[in-house]
Amino acid sequence: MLKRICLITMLLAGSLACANAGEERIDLDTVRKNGVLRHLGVPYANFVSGDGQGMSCDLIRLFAQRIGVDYQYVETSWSNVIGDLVGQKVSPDGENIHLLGETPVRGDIISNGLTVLPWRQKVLNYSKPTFPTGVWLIASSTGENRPIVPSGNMDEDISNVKKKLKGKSVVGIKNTCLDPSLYDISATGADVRYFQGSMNDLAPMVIGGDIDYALLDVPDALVALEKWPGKTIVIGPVSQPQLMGVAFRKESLELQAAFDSFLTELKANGEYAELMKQYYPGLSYYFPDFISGQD
Amino acid sequence: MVVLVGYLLYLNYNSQNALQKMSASQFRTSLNSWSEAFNYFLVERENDIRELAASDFVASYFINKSIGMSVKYGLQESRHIIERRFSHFTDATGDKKPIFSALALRDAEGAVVVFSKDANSRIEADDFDFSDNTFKIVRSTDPSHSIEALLEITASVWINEKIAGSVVGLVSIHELYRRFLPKQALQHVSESYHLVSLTNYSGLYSMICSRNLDNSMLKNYFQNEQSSWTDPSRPADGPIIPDSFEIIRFPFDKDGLELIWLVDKSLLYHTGEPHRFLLVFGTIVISVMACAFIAGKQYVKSLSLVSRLDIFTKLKEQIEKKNVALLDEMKQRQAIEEELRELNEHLEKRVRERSKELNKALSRIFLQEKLASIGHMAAGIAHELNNPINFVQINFNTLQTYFDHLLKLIFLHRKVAAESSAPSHYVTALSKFENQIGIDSVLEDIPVMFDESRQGFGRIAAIIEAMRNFSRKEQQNVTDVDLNKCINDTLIISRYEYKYCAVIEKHLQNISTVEGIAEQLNQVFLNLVVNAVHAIKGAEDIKEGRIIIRTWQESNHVCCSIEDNGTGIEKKDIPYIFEPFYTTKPPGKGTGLGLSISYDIIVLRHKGDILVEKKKDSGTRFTVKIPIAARRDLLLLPVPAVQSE
Repeated sequence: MLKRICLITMLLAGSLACANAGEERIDLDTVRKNGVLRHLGVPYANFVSGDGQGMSCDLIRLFAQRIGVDYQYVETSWSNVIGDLVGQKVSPDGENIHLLGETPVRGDIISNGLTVLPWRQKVLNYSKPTFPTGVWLIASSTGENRPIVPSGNMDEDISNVKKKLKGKSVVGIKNTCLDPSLYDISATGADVRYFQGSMNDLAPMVIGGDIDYALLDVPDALVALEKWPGKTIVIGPVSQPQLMGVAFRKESLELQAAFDSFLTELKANGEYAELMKQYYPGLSYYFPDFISGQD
Repeated sequence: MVVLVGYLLYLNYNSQNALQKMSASQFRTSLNSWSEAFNYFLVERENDIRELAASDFVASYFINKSIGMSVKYGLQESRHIIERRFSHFTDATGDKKPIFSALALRDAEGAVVVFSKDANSRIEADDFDFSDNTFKIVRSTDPSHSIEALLEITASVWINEKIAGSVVGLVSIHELYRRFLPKQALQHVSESYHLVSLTNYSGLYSMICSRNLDNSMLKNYFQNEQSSWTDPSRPADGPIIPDSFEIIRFPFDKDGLELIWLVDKSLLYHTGEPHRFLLVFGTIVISVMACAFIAGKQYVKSLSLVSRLDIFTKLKEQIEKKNVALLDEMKQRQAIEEELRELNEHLEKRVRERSKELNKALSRIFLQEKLASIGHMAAGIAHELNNPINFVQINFNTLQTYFDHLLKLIFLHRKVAAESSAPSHYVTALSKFENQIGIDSVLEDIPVMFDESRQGFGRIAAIIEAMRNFSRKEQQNVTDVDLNKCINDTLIISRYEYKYCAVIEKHLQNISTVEGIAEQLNQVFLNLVVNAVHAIKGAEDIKEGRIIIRTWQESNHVCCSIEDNGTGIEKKDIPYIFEPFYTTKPPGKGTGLGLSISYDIIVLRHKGDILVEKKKDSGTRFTVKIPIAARRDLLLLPVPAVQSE
């Protein structure tokens, strides 16, 4: 089994390399030559606000300064973000992917709270972790749904959350970290639904009573708690802790290395912690190890 | 020169005095403004705390907690959100200190859920027991720090009509002073007296304390704790003695707190000391110069007086002579004025009398015209009624004749029916019909009804005749008048007045006719009869009203008396009853002219006499005496036709 996955991965990587063989390889020197770093971002939580602001924008803007180029924000969508980076339309299939054809390359780097997922790792390279996360189940505070009581064991907590899902509607977004299939939600007997819109609209759906539960990653759930105080509640976790990172094309190894170096320095001098505190001030409570640099 | 110097000194003193008063007034205004600013600041902070307690992010924490959200999965974020919002109030911005030294959110059990404070503050959550809601003096746990005084402001958090917790804000009193009184020099915190005192200027102290700190406690505070003031910037003007200060209290809107000002009285009340020397000096200089000026002026004046003395003597003699002449002239003028005054009074009296008579005459003329038109109308009505009554009466007589004939015919039919051999059923039917109509009663009643109707026609004719007699204009000439007829006509006319309240007794003798105007005499008798009726109606204690009318003859006079058993006339009213407009009846009931006109007709026109007497038991008797021969010139004068009062 493991051999088969490795084989498929190698074949896909080879396919991607062949697909881009006709085009110029984009790496750090190309970016410097172009004089601009194109930041692909999807408006989401406090990472990207949509107008070129947010934690991810600040981070990539600093990185652009570091490598001596201009910064350019390029807005995209969850369904196109990977294609806009690698020049190939990609469709996940479990932990595997399918290539659906070429598409124009619009950016050099993805940064907007992109969770590290196995299928994404097949087409992307991730930087060192930039953000801790996880997926929580949220509900409206006015309904009958009630949170779990923490047991002290993450697996048991996830199990308790899933026990509540039978016969209930649960919404997520396909091909993202909020895809219910990643967490085997359909096996709980829940009425799984996929939302076509933005991740930012999941919480309002729950508050409006259109759906019983929604999957949200932790940073977004914290934003929702502040944005709609008293309207949403957290039922509990549906995933183990996850990580987010900045994504690069497979061939942009120098660019990735430059960013990792930059990130390490930023964490060391405390600037990164300030950045996190600015956009997610409450996160340190939930991920103390990451914030203290012990991740 | 002296006046100028004095005036300048006066102006200088006044202006300085006014300036000091203005300064004291401004000082008082400043105290008040400061106090208002303190109070407003605290009220605003109370509003801050209330708004925080009512905010949705605070409510969210309690709602999420009550739903069962765990700290591990989300509830901690609710705390963080609150802490971040609190920090807006407790974080210093630039060089400005925060409004609140600390803010805390407590749950219903009193546990501190969120605590946010100024980074420079010595306050820690453990420093508080949060048991008091007004005034707090906190000694920091850090021994190197001194005492810090704080005001505690609390507002409850209500969730679903229950108190879920509270928001507590702590305002540093030192910061409060710093914001409003930047020149502060000393702060002293007294735990014993529960107050914070500060000095701002020399002679001005202020303190924030519990409102129950009265003046005696305040004195004790100064006596007992003043020595512990160790601040090197303390003013060197000696210990504060409260008696030399005015205490001005300003209660805050916040419960239990008060701002007290201790102000050196010299700052509030003008003593005038800087000007005293100037004032005394100026007074002495002005006094000396004024004395010299007056003495010199008196000397010059006496010289001038001596030289003028002779002239004054001569003038005096001339004036005395003129005075004597003026006195004589004045006496003459006084005598003339006295005569003129008497003449004026006499004229005014005459004018008043004539005016009174003229008014009465005008009133009579007015009534005369009014009543003459009514009489004229009554004559017209009588004339119009007379014709139909005449032909009804004639027809009625003819009708009676016809009826007599029909009766005879009926009797004849009955007789024939009884004696003939007509079929028995015809006789039976006739008899039955006669029984149905009660023919015997009909035949008996018809003559009676005709007699009564005839009498009714006679009475109607008599009334109409009487009305015509009363109102006929052609009777305004002198004729031989039968007083008995006059009385009968009067009783017919006035029957409506008396028929329900009085019985008429007539004792009319054979009397001669008199020369007179029947219409006028009818009016007199009508007035007397109507007055008698009114007197009877006004009496409450009589069983039956009675009017007795008598006529008789005395030598060359014919007399008529009309008496009643009514209320009678008061003795005091008798001299005035024949005066015009005099009446004892209620307003609107009488004109006061009836007896006056009667007197006019009998006495002035017919040269007779009219007497009134109060009867012994009750009632009044009027007696009219008329000479058989009258003066025709007098009788033809017009007389108003007032019939009753």
